[in-house]
Amino acid sequence: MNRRRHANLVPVAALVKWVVVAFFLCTAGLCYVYFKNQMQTTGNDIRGLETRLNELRMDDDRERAQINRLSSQSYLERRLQEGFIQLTPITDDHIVRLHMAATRTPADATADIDGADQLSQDPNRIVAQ
Amino acid sequence: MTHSAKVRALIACCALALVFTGFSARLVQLQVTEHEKWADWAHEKHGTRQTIYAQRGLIMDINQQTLADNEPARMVIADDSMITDPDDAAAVMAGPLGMSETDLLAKLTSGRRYIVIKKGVPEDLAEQLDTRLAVRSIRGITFQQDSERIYPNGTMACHVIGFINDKHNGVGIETQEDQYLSGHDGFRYTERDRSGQELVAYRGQEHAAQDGYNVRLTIDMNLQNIVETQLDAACKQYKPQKAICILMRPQTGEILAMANRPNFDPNDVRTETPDQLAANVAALKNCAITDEMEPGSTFKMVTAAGALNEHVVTPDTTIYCENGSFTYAGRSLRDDHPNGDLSVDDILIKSSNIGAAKLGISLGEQRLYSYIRAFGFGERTNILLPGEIPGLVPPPQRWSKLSITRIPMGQEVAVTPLQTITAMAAIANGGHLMMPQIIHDISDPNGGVISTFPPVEIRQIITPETAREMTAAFRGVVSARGTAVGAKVPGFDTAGKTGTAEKIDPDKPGYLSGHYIVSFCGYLPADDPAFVCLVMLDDPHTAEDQYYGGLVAAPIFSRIGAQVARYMNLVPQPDVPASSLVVTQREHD
Repeated sequence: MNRRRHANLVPVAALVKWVVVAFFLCTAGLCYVYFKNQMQTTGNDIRGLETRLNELRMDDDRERAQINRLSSQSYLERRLQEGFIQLTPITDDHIVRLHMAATRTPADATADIDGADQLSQDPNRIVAQ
Repeated sequence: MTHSAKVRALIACCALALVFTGFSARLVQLQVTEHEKWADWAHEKHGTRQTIYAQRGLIMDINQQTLADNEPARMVIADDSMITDPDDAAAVMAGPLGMSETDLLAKLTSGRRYIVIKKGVPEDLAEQLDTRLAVRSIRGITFQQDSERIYPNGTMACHVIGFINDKHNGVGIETQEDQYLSGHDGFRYTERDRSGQELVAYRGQEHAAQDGYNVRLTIDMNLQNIVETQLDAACKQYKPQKAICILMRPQTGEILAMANRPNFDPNDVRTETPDQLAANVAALKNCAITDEMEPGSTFKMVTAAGALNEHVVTPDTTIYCENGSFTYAGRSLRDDHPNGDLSVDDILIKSSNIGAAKLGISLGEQRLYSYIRAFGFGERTNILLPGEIPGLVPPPQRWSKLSITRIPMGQEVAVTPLQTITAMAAIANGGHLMMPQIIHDISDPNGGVISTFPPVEIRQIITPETAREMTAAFRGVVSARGTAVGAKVPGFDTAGKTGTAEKIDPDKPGYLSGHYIVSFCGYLPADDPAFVCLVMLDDPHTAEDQYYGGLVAAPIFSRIGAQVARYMNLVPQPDVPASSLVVTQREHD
């Protein structure tokens, strides 16, 4: 009786060990597949977002090009000639000058250069050898 | 188990072992021995090197107005390996793309996996085409992001802005600064699945594109518009072969406007074939820097400035002008209007050829030549535009006996319009020869300035005192006594010099009868000039005896000057009324 019981004993420890190993392998495999899918999904998302970003950039470029075209000298000149824009020239007797110093240039780095004497003192000036 | 059963089991096991050994051997062969081969094949099949195109930089004027821009478009790309029916694909695409079916078919069957079918395809057309291809289930055609260069101002400032085509032929800033404007394309190694979709997870090495730098010019489009409008009006009135106008700030050498006629539209020219470009070469040339011509009387400024600076004469020195006919070295030199004694000032005011010749003789060959070279003639100004020529100034060793009387009045030398205005600017600014500047700065796409172009003084040519004396004489040129009363800008103290040069006969030695290059180069306000302007017309159609620079070019200068002065907010002087422009005497150079 005791011999038979001893012979039919289930090797629990070994079984548990193999079950754990199998479970670990299965989990690892599933995780691999899951992460692989996640990478694929994220990649697709990234691609979609990049496409959308590119489209927005292109829209931006398109709008900017359109603004530049519509605000260009040539276009405004044409619209003026076609009568879509009305401009009235300002005559000299309608100009009130608040100061007599001539501000003749756009505000840029060279605006302060008024004459040759000042020019020779310009620290940014390069004299060619 | 019987013996036979054991044998059969053994045989089966051995057979299975052999089969698996065979599989294993094959696996080792695929994965180890031939790994490189199959990996390369797989990479070639699915992996691609994706080009990330850099955006070309913008060209802007001084006020940041965009002169050359990029508009989104599509580039049609074909993958030969994915196209199953090239004939069908060619038939669908040929019409909308404006290509011949034969050419398209040849491209589609070229055996390459990356075939550029057409660039710069408008987006709406690309979408329509994509739909038609999808309906016909044609695979292997993709529409990549691309951009098309556009020039919002059309012909305006076309010679300065220029263009560049796919073969890197072009003109203007587009060509000159291409290395900065073009940027650097990036790349990305990636893989695609069976349907051609990119597998983002398998992206490899990636190098971002570096967009081109933006170039900001010294050109002011408002001033350019004034110049172009007046030049158009002048061309309509006089129908010249060529017309040139340059506006420069004398203190810094900045070019504020530069226009030529004939001109072109860079939006159209960019797509022309080399043959078409060759046929259109006259319009493509920036004559302000690529054409040389005898300057005529404007060149007298060099002779007079040299003589005054060397104290050979003073402004009041009297020179006998032979009553209109002067014989030197056996040849006669004439003035259109005979003069007796003239002061040096009056020689310029009345533009006496004989007076200028005698000033040249007084100065001497070597010193005259030195001043011509000092004023920058005979060498490039080094403006940052392609194709500039140095002009032609022969050294004294090659002069004839007659040269000392002809060169002082602007014959026997060839100069560019840019050299002329640069020399005039030197007189206007007190004697400093400035290098002409066309680029203000270069900046990165985020606006960070990476390079600026400060004013460059080449040399001091004449003393400020001589410059003041020259300006006094040039004031007289624009007075009622001078040759260019029509150049007067109401309310402003104006100075300048006219030029009327006979055109050289290209076929035989001598000049063409009745064909002239007329010019006026002047500045205002005379004491502290805000700008110098050169107007030059090549062979204007005028009534007889109406071909002089003072009658043709000077009024154009006046109209431009008045508008430019208003734009620059120059304050009119109350003691220089417009009513002073009463012509009491008209003389020509």
